[in-house]
Amino acid sequence: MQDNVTFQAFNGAEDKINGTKIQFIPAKIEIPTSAKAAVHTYFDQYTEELDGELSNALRGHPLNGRKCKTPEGLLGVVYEENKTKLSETNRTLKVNSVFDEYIYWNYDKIPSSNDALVKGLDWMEIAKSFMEPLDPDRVAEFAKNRKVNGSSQETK
Amino acid sequence: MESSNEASDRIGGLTDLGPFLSKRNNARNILYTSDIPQKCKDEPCMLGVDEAGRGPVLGPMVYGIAFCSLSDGEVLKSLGCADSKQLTEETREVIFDDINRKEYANTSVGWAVEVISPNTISRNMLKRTKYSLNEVSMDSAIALINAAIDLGVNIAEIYVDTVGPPEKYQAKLSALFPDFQITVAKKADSTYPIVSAASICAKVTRDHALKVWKFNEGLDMTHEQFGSGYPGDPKTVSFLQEQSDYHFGYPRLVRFSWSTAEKAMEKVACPVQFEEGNEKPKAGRSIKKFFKGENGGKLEKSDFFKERFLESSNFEFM
Repeated sequence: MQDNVTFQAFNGAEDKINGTKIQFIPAKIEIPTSAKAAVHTYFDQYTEELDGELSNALRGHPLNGRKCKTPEGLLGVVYEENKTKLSETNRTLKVNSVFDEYIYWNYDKIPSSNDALVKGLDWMEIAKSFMEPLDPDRVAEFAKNRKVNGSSQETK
Repeated sequence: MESSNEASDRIGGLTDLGPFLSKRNNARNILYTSDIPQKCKDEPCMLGVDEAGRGPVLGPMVYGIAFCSLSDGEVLKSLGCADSKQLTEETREVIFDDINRKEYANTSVGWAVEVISPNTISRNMLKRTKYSLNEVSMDSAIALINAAIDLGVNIAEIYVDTVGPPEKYQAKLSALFPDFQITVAKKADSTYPIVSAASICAKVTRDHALKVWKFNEGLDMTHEQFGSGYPGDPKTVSFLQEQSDYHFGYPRLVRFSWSTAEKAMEKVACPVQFEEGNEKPKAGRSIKKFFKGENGGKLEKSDFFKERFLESSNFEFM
């Protein structure tokens, strides 16, 4: 059974971008807590930039990073869960922050267009094509062409 | 390997060492070369190489070289350069000060050190393809020898102290520097006074690096509280137990690649899983799947989604 998760609706608007610095790290925190991470003191001040390539380390592991923008026309949203859950299976998430740029970090590998996150965003384009309403003129044209091809096959 | 680009002030004696180090970024490596005595350019020289702080879980490892004319062996003896492990900290500091301050010494003996930061050590040892401490060490020694060559030191003989197997190391150095007579030996530190001088420079620099260590993370602690950094030192043990951060583990004084640090971190910080270098190979088709169809009759997810770690969900928006 999948949890029933409700997201607070977000009506994308640039003015909601609140300057939160988003960083995507190649590691999983196994036991998340609600405590804030000391990102500035333990991490950000060690980020170095050379010719647009960022470097740092997380628990001694070398990281290579790059500043990225969200794809044209899209914004990123961070959702936060209420500390008091209504129930284990009915969960509500609220918008915490909105961003249009982020730092992407790889573990000892220079970020490239082959990284899963970048490639994952391809889906947004594909999904858009699926979801867009069809243009009636184009549908009519497509149907017509099919008929033409179909009938020409019959005459052979 | 990265090095600090900041203007290198001159170290003219023991008291300059602390201020010199504290002005620099302790997350990065620092390379320092002394003034080169004219004699070292004019006459064939011997050059010694040694390291300090290889074992500790805290602080930098320091590589050092010292060099002087082949005819100046007496100067090293007058300075008291002998097996540096037999010398007390105070004696080492006096000798270091004399090398820099006494005219008979600073006109004969030159030296250089590379401070390899704990941050650099961790980042190298925890690469996907491990860059071992031995390789880090050899590369540092090579960088220091090259620095001396660039500054005009007329090297004839090189003596290197090693903890690892001398043969491989010797072969590597001989291939790189075919013009020099090279000797790599265990405990060279106690056999060759020039190696002892190098060892003293490295050890005094390592001690001072810890004495002036400033935590960028804001911890208000001194070396008297975190100890020598050796895994057996009770102060170091309690530092690793008490000064942890739930997410980031430890401040960058710590060598994360040391098993002592890894084990201590398991107890005090959140477990963190790093992305693995190698993808798991796909398991073969099981006989069950043959009868039920792949994936129990359900449609197999397209590679497009698998590669991108995309999954469908039934979230709803309110």
